[in-house]
Amino acid sequence: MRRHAALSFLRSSAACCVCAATLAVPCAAQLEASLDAAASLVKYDGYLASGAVALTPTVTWQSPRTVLAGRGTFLVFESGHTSIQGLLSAATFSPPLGPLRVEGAAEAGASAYAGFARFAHALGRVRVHALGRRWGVWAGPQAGRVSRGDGAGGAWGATAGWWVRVPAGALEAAWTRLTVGDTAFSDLLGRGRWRLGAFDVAASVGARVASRGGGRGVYGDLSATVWLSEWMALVVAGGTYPSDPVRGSIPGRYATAGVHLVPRATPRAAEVRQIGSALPLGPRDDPARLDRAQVAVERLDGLAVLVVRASGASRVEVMGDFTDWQPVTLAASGGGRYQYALGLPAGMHRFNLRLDGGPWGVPLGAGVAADEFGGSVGVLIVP
Amino acid sequence: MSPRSLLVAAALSAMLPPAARAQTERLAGRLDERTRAAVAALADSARAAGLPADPLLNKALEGASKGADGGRIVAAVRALAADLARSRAALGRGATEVELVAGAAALRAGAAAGFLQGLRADYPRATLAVPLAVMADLVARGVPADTASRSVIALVRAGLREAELVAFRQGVERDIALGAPAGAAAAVRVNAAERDLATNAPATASGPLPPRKP
Repeated sequence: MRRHAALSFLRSSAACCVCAATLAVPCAAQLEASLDAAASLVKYDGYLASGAVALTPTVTWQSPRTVLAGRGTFLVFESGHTSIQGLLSAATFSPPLGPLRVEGAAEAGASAYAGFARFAHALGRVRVHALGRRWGVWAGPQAGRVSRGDGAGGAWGATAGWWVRVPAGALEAAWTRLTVGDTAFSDLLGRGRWRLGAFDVAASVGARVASRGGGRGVYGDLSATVWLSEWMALVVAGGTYPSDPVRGSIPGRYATAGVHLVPRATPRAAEVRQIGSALPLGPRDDPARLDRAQVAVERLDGLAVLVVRASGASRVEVMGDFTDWQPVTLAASGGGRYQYALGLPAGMHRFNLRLDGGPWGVPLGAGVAADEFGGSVGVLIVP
Repeated sequence: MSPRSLLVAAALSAMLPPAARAQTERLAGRLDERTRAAVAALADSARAAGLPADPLLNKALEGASKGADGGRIVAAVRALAADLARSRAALGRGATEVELVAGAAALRAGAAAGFLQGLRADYPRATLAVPLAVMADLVARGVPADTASRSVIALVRAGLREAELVAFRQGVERDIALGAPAGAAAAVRVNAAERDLATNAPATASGPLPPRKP
């Protein structure tokens, strides 16, 4: 009976998500999928530590203004008990209203542990974003329903936050107030994400305060991801998290290691990586980028000439399909300006550049694509 | 590759016309003998099929310069040959080498063959290298393939010149660098009413989760 109630609740919640999606502006979209497989050591508050393995498939449909995502997690604990969790989410943005945009979002999820503990929830939220070029703030209410198996109740609250881009990463701070039945609490959360060499590093630290029945304390986690290929990454993570009365999880601490598989390889060099409220890191954050050099194609005497501006460099070399992929030293013309002596024919050209004998990379001003040899290649288009 | 096939490749190479032989000689000293023979054989097959061989040789040279092993180089060349064939099938036999290369890049990036066919049908006499290259580059920057295709088609239909298409690409790059989601950056650049957007998109769910227990 409880199970039936939870499933009905989930079905109606999923229907809400689908309806929200169909109301979104129709636009070009892309479907992506990934699979995470991980082994973990986890200790829930009040329980003995346990090993666990998890499979987490994810499917995301993304259009310029709308994202629909579905994620499931299948966990098997050392005891043999299993946990199944599923989450559907949808979010869409309004067109710009001056510096503001309005976001409407909804999520619905359900979980079951060892066949007896079942939870389901549906939450909707509206957030108003004020956006600058490298920062943003948002605020808005959220409300929904939570089913704990023995009945359903309301959940409501509000959230506000701020994010800013920093060199090689981004930072976010958020405050959330939530009331679920007779439980109420506030979470203060700071998050950061950086790209450090071959690693993507994310960290968070939070505090639960002003709590009535939701526990108090400080929590946080740290994760590092290293991409081995276009479609596979290794991930290690660990930390603590508080109870979540909406999604029905108890507090715990964990350490996990796993693989992240992306069956449909996407061009990683320009992949938009996101933090918190999905703040993307631009191409300047790509490790293959040569931030000290800027490339352009200029017309000189009717020829399309490759010109590099690299102040502070004493030697600039290029290799590409127009040099038979042999390194060629560019001629300096003063003021940090260097140029390739021969004209480039119209079309698409692939190349790499290096400064002062350093590693080959891609200067600003050129497209970046994954080459087939484990690195990145610059792309220039000559009209 | 077996010694026999190496011998066959060498024999075929000796029978090549001078221009083709000169092309293949670009590989001399850059690849080991086995890889060179395999790449030369792929280039010969491409020529026989009416496809350009230079892009294949460029790919092999790129791999050689980047220190890739022979197997990886041959695989990359073979994949490019297949993409060129798909590109030619979509763009037609009259497509130029630069169009085929750009078309192959667009297809590799995720463009549908129908996108190439549609562009060719709409503009049978125009050179499509730049629109196709811009499309491939947009996808490399994270713009969803469908959005990139529609953006390029919209711009070409709006009458943008090649240089303006390249400027459009640069504008999208700037927007992405400033924090705009790639797909939105392309969409708003196409739609002038929504330009200068530097916002964020909803979060996507991915990556490992803590092993939460209900």
